[in-house]
Amino acid sequence: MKKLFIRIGILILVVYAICQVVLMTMPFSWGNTRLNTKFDAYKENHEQYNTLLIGASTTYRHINPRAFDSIVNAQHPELNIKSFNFGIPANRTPQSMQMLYNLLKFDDTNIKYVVIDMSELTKMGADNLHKKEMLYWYNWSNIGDVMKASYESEKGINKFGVPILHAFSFGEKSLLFGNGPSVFMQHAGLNTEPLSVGPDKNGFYSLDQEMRDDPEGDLAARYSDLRTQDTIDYRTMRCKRLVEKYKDASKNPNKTMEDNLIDIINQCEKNNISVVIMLSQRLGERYEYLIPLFNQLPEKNRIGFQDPDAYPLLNLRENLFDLAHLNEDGAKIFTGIFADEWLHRLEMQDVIKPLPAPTVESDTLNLNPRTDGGNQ
Amino acid sequence: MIFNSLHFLIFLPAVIFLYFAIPYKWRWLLLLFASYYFYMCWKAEYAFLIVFSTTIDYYTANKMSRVKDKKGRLPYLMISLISNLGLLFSFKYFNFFNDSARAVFDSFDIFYNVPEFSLFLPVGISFYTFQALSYSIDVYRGDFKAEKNFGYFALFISYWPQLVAGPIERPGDLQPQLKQNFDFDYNRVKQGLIRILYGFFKKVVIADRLGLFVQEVYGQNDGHGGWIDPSFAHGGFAVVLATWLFAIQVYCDFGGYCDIAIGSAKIMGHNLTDNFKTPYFSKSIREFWERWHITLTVWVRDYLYIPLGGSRVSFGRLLFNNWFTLTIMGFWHGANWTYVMFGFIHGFFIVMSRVWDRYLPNLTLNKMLPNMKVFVGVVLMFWIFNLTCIPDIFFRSNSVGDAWNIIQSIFSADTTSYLIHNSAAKGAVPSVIEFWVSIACIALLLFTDYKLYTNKSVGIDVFVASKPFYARWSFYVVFLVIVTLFAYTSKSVFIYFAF
Repeated sequence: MKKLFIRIGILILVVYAICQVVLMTMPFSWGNTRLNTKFDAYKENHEQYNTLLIGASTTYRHINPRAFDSIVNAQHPELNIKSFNFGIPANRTPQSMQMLYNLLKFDDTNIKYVVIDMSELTKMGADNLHKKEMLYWYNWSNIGDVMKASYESEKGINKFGVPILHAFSFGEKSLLFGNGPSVFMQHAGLNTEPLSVGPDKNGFYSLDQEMRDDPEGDLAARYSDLRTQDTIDYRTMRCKRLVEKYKDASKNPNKTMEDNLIDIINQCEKNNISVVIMLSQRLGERYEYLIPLFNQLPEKNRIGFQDPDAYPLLNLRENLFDLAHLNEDGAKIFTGIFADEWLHRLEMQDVIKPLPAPTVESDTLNLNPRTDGGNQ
Repeated sequence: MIFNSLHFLIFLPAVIFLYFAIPYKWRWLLLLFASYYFYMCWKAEYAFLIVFSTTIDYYTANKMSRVKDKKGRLPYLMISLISNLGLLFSFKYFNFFNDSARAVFDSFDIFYNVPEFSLFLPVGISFYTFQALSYSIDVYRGDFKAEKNFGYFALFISYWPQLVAGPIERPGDLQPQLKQNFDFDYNRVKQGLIRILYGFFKKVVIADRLGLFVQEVYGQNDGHGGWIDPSFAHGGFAVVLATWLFAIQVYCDFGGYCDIAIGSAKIMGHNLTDNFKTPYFSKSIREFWERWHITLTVWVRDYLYIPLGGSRVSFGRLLFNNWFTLTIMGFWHGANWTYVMFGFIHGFFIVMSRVWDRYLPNLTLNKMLPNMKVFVGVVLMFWIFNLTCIPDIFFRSNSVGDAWNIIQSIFSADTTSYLIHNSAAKGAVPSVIEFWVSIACIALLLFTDYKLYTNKSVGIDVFVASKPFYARWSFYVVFLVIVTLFAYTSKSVFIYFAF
């Protein structure tokens, strides 16, 4: 039996070495066709951009950089904001951190402002295994943090199952499991999805626009099936309940992830980059985990949209595309609210001085009925 | 549990480790437990069907073994036949006959109100009931002594490597092996692992990838017991190409399953029967059936074809026997007219080949071109491959109507380019890349199978193990790297699980 184990071990090492050679000779991949496309667009004019919006679909579909820039610059022309939306569907916070690291490595001379949309921190379902995303965002440091964070989680995450999934996923990544065709695509420069960068080429691609571009795609079904008033009411009620339950949660739920987020804030501040962590409105999933963690962040570095009562417009049926996402109208409203909140955080960070009185006439700013700062 | 899952990659080493770690006398219990666990991972409550079948056959076989004359054994055989076939009928064929009866009654405007059974089809029911039947019939005939130990018998019926998709083992082949004490043998384990590796190559690299293109033309299961109809948007050579690819897909899917099953059993010392022997290198339709799903063919030959008189009957009856047994084999696959048509067409081909051999014995390519053996061989193989693709159209279609539509679409405008470039348009990888990866892997499969074919169709395990060090290790590394890099990782079950 010993002979068998030795030979199997040798064979695995040989295969591992071959896969590593393939991985090393592969051009750098963002592991995601949408992200590749966005990076290509960003690369063309990267010296213009000074603001990065990084996150999941709630960034991708909700923040229009064109509107955001005009609202912010109208109030504070000295900021001369030019932002790029790097949101991609189902992006997790560790991925966002890795993405920021890679973007700053590419060019950190112009970047002054960074927004990171906080999402499920460590959850990785079996469906996410085998994805090309593994190719770029896993490394030894990341995998260690993610596994530690998964294990530290008190609620909502299987303490053993999730680290095991990550370990398998990391092993798959090391062996490029099932990623042979992607390697070919990467070599051939085919890992892109041209429409996904949006009509303005700034990374914002509304769900309505995508549905118009692909009327027979899955989005049409999502739009018609998931947007009933009953389901919206149920979802809003559930979110309210969870927000109420966890609004005062002060116990640190996850030291590793908190340390990582704080580290990012500090590292960026050292380089004169302002960081704001955003908690978008969600379906309520992981709120028991996300809200307490969010509460640990410095107030000047966080914006929270989790409370449906604080932002009722974002929960009206006419502004929703599906249960988790806003439509074009909703995104327009959200961009306005977000710009307002973001400027408020810059004031708190002493990046800008408060304006004596509102000077912007945009309706969207008046639509924000927030009374408590949005933070829980 | 399916072989191409993480679950199985943990299950297999765990069972093998325990198998060699525990004393011989407890191994049957371990394998029995593992077999039921393996099955119950799919739908636990349906394990009672196996228990039911096992109990009935154990009881009837032991009763038969105490009766000397065949006449006295007959009632017990009938109990076994009725129980097993009744199980199969209730869970697999009832709705088919019920729907067919309803259609007939409706056509005469006669009220017919027998409700449908809304039951899941138990995975592998056709395989284990046929295995149980062969046991009862062999005991009835006196070819095999009834097993006294219920545990060993239960293991024979439920032995996990071949439980859900064969090979259908005969009691005389498998049962004695289950009682033997096999020590760990490096060479045997090595051969088992080679077989498993080749099985994974066929299943996860080729079969699952080809499914992308096949489903574009033929439609697909929606994963919830329904069916997404084909758009019939494809025509011309694209339909022919999809059918060729399906023929290779089903070979790699089922053949891959059998390789993994045979390899797993071999590690533990048990030799299962080869189910496929390079079938697409057949030069006649009869040879094809000697190489394709061999255990089913032999089962039907021994328990249906020969009792019908086999070939020792008049020529007309011989033709009927051939056609009838092939049609029944088709129907064995599933309760749908498409499978009946699959068997019917194969039966028709066999009948035609027999008629040709009898009346036009000199009008064959071999005799007309005696000096061009290689060329004739290649032409015949290609011809037979294409012939077998015709019933495959019915096999893959959701209904006979769909099959006719697909056949008609061969004669419409060609859409090959669209098929190759857009089959997986919503997937992450463009289908053109998947297509060329598929073609390269099929070429490798053909090369390997050709090597096996020219070596009297030995198993890949025996063939590779007999090669020198550098050739063996080249095989290990090349195939393991290919499986690692090119495994098609979307979840997919084996096609033959449905039978």
